[in-house]
Parts: sequence; structure tokens; C-alpha cells
Amino acid sequence: MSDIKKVTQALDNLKVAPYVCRGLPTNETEFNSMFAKITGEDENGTAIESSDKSKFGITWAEVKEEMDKL
Amino acid sequence: MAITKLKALGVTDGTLTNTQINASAAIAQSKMAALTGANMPASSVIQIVGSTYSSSGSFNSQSYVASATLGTITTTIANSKILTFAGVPLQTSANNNIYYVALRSSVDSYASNLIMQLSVNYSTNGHILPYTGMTFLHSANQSASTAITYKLYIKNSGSSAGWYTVDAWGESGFGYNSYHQEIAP
Repeated sequence: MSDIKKVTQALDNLKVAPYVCRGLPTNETEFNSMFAKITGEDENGTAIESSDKSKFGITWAEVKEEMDKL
Repeated sequence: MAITKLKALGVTDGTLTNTQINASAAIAQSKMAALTGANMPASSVIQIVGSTYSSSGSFNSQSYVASATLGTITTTIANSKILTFAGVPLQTSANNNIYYVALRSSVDSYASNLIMQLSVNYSTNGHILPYTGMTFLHSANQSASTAITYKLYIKNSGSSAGWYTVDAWGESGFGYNSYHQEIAP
């Protein structure tokens, strides 16, 4: 399994969707900059993304722990 | 005596016509004014801009999200069209999902789909409709010197599985090209 699949599988296992992760995070700093939680949809059908960590519903430590199980 | 020479100032402006030009006359290219986009016939290619995508990303969203940036072209003349070739692939897994792949531009701040294509990966009945890249002729109708950026916006029908643009599989050195041609109006 590729590294990005591990990230995705971990996020799926933790039922984080919907989300975007633009890049392959390897630490907390990268995760917090690459990850965004989808919090809604605008009138054009475009996702409303939040980069506010308090709205992620997940932390890098939890994602990493899940990745290490894979 | 026949006149064999004329000084330029002896010729009245605007009086020479095609008739006075010898059939074998060949005006040197160096004497010609440079062609500009505005001189080109309709549908001529004025410029080509390429962009290489070499990023990774994973997504799972039932609303459109910007999934890949395809590059920027700056118009050189007003009201030109942009012919875009988008070459960024989409990787999905067999989890009964429909993927909606749309091209959007900065002209309207990525608010609307210029074109949308479906990609399907259904494990239940083994049906696969692969995404094969897209082309689109965009009647941008912008003024000259307008920078236009194109992006792929994607969403999926269900959260059972997302998509990758792209999964690098641990590899490096890959790149996916997109091209944008400015077409004379």
C-alpha cells in the first residue's frame, strides 16, 4: 500500500469524510496545512472547506496511529 | 528621355497599387512588420502554454473540490478563445462510485463547470468508465492581458471511497502535462 493510500485508508477508517488532503503529509505541520474538512456546499455546488483544526474532527496523531496499524 | 528612377519623395503617398509591383518582386521578411495576434486569421493558434502537474492528493467529497491546477494562460488579444487539453489523471477504487470531473476557470472565480465528464468505478457489476482526460474550447471573451487559470473540480456520488489526483505509488519524477492554446477570434 502506498503512503498516500495509508493516509486515505486511515481517514476512511476514522470516518472523516468529506475532506481534501492536498499532498502527502508526513507530520503534524504538513497535515494541518494540507488537510481541510468539508463543512458545507455553496450555491455553485462547490465544497466549503475549513482549515480550522478545531473542525477537523481528527488529529494527526490519530491519523498516524491508524496508519501504523495498516 | 524615359524616366528610369524616382526618388521616394517623388511618389505621391497612396498611389502605388498592386499593378506597379513586379510579379517577381519578393519583399524581404526583414522589411515586414512583425505579425501580432490581431493580424492572424480566425481560429489561428496565437500561443501555447504548458503546465506540468506532479503533485499528490487524496479527496473524498460529495461537493466539488479543486483537485488539480492545470496552469495559467494570459491572453494577448481581446475576445480570444482558449483550447485546453487537461492531462491530469484520476485514480479511483472499485467501490460503487460515480465521479464527476469538471473543468472550471478563474474567469468566474471557479463558480461554474465549463464541461463535466463522468467516471464510474462500480464493483457490483464490474462496470468501469475511465476518465481519459478532457479537452474544451473556452469562449473566454476576455480583454487582452487577462490571466486565466484552469482547475479540475471533482466530486463523488458517495463517501465509500474517494479519489487520488494523483497517487504517486511512492514514485517520483512523474509529470502530467496540460496545454492551453489561445485561438484568434
